[in-house]
Amino acid sequence: MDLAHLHEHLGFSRAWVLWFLLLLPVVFLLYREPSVELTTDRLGLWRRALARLPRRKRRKPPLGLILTLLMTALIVLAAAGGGRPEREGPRRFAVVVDLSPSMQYPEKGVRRLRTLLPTLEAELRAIPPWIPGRLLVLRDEEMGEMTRWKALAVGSTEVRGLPTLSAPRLGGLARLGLARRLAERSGASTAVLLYADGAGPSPWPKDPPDNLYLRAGGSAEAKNPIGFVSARVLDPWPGAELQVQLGLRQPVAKGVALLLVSQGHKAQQKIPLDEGGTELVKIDVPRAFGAEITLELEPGDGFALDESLVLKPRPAWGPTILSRPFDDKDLRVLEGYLEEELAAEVLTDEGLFATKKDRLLLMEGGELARWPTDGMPRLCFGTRLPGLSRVGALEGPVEWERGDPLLRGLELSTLRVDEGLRGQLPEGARVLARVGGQPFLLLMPERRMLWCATELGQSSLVEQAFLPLLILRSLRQLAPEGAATSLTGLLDPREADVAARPAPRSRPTPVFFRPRRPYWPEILGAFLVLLFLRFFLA
Amino acid sequence: MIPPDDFDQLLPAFLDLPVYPPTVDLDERGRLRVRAEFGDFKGHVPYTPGEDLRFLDWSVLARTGHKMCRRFELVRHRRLSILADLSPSMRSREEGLRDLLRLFGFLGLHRLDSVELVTGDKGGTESRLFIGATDYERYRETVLGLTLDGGPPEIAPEEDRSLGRMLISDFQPEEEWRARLAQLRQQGHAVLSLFPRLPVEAGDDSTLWEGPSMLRDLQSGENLSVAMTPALYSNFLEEQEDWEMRMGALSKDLKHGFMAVDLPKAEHRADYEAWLPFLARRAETRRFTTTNPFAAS
Repeated sequence: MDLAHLHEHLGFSRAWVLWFLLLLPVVFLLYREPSVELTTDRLGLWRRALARLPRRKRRKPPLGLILTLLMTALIVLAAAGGGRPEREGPRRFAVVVDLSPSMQYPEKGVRRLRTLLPTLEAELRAIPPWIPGRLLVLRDEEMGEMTRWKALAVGSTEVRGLPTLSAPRLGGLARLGLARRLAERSGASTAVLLYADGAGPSPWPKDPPDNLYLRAGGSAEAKNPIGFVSARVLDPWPGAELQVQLGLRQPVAKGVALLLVSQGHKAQQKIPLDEGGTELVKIDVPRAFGAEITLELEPGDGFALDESLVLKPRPAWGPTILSRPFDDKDLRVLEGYLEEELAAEVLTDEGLFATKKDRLLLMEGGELARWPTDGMPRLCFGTRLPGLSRVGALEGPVEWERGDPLLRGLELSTLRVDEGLRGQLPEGARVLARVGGQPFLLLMPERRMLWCATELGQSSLVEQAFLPLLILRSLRQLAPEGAATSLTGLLDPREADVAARPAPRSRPTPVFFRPRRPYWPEILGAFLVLLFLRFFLA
Repeated sequence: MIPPDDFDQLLPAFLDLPVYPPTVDLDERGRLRVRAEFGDFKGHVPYTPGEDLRFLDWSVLARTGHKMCRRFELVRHRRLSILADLSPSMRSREEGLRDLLRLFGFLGLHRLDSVELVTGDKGGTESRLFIGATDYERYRETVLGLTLDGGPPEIAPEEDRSLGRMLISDFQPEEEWRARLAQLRQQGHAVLSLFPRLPVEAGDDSTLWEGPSMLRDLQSGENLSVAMTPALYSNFLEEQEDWEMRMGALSKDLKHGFMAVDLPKAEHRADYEAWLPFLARRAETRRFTTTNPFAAS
């Protein structure tokens, strides 16, 4: 123990009692062994006898008196409330760990987060066990609490679990400012230790408060040349193929390919990317390639988080199609198209139509006496509906809703219609096109029906190019709802900057609060030992 | 007048014992005592009551039935000369010294003709003469009035008388006494050196103590602070025994006598047996002794 810092280890709650130490000389006088005085004329002989003794035996220390003085001093020290004085400092601490994607950057083969763990553990080891702490993580632009207040021991489950946290889920930014807010909100009694790399769009907090301690890690030379910066999927569902558009950070070098792997590696496809080519890659992916498809850049640059995407196509519809009448040639053309496009099954037997699979009914002509309630999608051409059963001439130009998603980009001006059904517009029907001011194409999503005022054979519909696209787009709304196509795993492009930045101000671990600790157990123990020795010597 | 104490009451008991004060050559002269001290035979005179029976001629009484006393022409005087060292260093054994002086004086005045007490006082050596048993009271007053602030006595030239010299001292410092004894021999003197041992010098276990001690020499004024331990005490006893052996050997070489005898402890002062080691039997020849019974044990 350094005497210069003795006051940090020894203090007294009743220091005035120490004045009783002045009684030690009195105790000395009372308990000292009286010196026996002997008058002798043999002083020369005594001197010779003394000289023959070993030097260490010539003087006999007054152990009894020394022990008595020590015991008296111990009693005074105990009465004075001797103990280790309280030390001011933070009474709690919070460890905030940046779990942003850049913390997964491999630094010489070891993830950046893992390289910070020894520093974290050393700091935890230096924190007294009576200081409660908690562990928080920064990711996805939020600060999550991993533990409540407790003693964070070195090697605890939470600390050990840090480097194994699932990296693919780390898609969002780590807002280091949240740690600053935590420090400001907690006040000076809580020390906030922020472990981060400062990489990416969220910078180190400027002018951090005094209770925020920044711990930086990572290399400033880290680079991340390969990776996706954008991803878009165009799904013409229920069409058979999807188009995926991928944006690359920069044109890739020769040899880099895009690897498509379906779930469970049942299918795999490798698409070479041109050297020095475009930064935008467009590929068509068959819907049937797999339910979950991984798109990876291979070989990557080591930082894999932005080199992998997961595509989950909306499953193909594949309904059973029944046409009424089943022998109409125009319907047959439409059947053939839908059979191929939707991988559907065309039935001719009415009985087999009662399957559990989704069904699609094509109707030309005929009449519905009431609105159907079976939820089956229907494409009706010239079918009489309740309120729309009167036949009349349709003359005039074709007008269509050009802004409607179903008709966007389609051209209907070449459509020729002679006559069609007229009547009262059904409730909830959306008019897609009119001829001569009369509704010609109606979409009724609630009744799962696309209705045309004329039969296929009484117009030039079959010849129109927009018809297949309109039918496919309509079926997207009429078909039973299912999971939408998703393309996930795209890293926030701002997180692509993995170069670490040094912390603006790094300070050593603070001196934490230490409660006062009385020394009376030690003093009592020492007193009893001395008392035993005293009696033993006596 | 100093009232008598227990020791004074003990002294008459020694007259019932055939003991004498020890001297070097008084015993040898004692063998010639009849002829030397009483002189040549001069004739008989009738016995008168109260006359000293030692002069009664028993052979004439047996032969004639008349009590006749012998008469001599010359009487030789028998004197015990006690030389007492009154140095301050003797204060540690002052009580025993006064008892010894009384014992030797008492026996000397009753068994012999006179006692000469020679002391080294401040002004020099002083000699006091006491004659006859009736002079004992004066002798006692003198002894009890002595103060131990003088020094060793000087020995006067020997007179024409039967003289036994006894020197009582602590013989410290040793070198000075060795020189003094050698000088006495050169002067033709023979003395019996008597060293009265204190119990602490005799190794009496009951006198052993442990702890801090201050040893004071009253003569030199020097002090010695020691931690008394059994080891130190044992060393001292060995030194004491060696010293007695050296003094005994020196006295033998110089034809002096040397005695080292234990002074009785206070509780044994009234026991006459405790004093017997200081005395000599008439038939014995005690030239000197260095016996230290405690050291031997």
